[in-house]
Amino acid sequence: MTSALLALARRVNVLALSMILMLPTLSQAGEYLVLSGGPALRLYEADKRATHDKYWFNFIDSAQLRIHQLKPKLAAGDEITWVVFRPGYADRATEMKNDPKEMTKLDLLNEIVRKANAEGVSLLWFDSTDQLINYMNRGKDRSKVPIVGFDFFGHSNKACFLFDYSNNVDGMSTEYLHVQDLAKLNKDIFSKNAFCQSWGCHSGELYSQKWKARFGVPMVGVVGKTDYSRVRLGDLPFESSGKNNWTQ
Amino acid sequence: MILSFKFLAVATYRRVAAFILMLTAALAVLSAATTDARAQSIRDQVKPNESTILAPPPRVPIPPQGEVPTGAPAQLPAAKGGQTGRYYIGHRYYGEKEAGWGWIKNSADSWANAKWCAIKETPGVIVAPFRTLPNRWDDHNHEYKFWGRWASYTAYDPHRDEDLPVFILEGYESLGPKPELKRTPGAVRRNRPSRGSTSR
Repeated sequence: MTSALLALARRVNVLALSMILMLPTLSQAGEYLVLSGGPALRLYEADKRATHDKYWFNFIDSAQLRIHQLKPKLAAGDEITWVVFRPGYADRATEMKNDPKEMTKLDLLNEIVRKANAEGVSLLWFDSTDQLINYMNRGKDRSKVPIVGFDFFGHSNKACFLFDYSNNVDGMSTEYLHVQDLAKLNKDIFSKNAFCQSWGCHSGELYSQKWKARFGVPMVGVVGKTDYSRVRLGDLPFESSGKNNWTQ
Repeated sequence: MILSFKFLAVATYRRVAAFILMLTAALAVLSAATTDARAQSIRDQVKPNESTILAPPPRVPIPPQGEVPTGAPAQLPAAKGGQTGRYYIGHRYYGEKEAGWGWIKNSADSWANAKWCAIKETPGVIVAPFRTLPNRWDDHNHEYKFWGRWASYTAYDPHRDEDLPVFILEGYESLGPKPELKRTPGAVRRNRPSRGSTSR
């Protein structure tokens, strides 16, 4: 009788243990990345026909709107990390500070910290594409904390995410993630059902396809341009032709 | 007595096992439902609200643009910055769809060896000569003596989908208008899969 009870207890223990071991896989916590590129300098853009980034926080306010939208929808245990290209905002803040015509003298970096704190999300600055790649690959153990979502707010063309544009060099980017560079990101950093979206221009024309081919998860992107002009009014960027031409 | 106790133990074991199995199954179903609900709820947010699309965006004033390029400024850019030591020669080329500044070569080289490149300016210290002129195209086909160095990094031109060498400008002296170079703008291309991108 004693041995039968011991065997029973052993089996119950094994079952309980296996359940405990299964729990993390059933409710696996993930990380949702919201990525903000930096703004252009007005020195380089003010006289252009297609002038960019008159407003310095297009990619910050839009990201904050998205974070606000995502927070109640994430699964328990999932966390949002807001990844921001720091040099873009440092340089724009310096330009604003030194421009006698500019009335706004915000410390943009502090302002971003304040916004991240207000949303209660982790803020991760990056200064180079290599730092971003390193974080996405190894910032967390991706076998335990996969990336469950990814949103990009910034300049882009169909082949490239431009973390800076017209900021370090007029009309160009010196920190960017080209489709050719996607191979530097590990294939398995995303969860199977990860949701990814680029809110930059033209990503749906090539980047989305290359993203799916590399990671096996779709990335929503627009065919055409996105418009950030209503971000200050509380609206997310929209497809500028009005055809709502998002694809993946 | 022993038999009934044994029977009771087996029954208890079966009930416990059944309970644990049910609990496991319930957790699995709950987890799958949560994941699906999460994916769906996030997908619901993909497309912006129709009302925001229909509302016209505010108009951004476009700076006046003249006929380009004239290549004939009223005056040449004044010399700027340090002008000692080794120098380069720069030939300015302006194109609205080009982000590159023009070609730069070693002073002793021929233009065949010149590099199509970008210029790194340092706001507050030194900027490209055309910024002292009324329009950025006013020094099209002008040449300059340049002092500075090549950067260790390249710049990506999103108009052309190519990487350009970057010249860090430290000083310049104008050499005035020169004949157009018989060269086509653009770097020696890397093997880009997106060749031909003109999306910006």
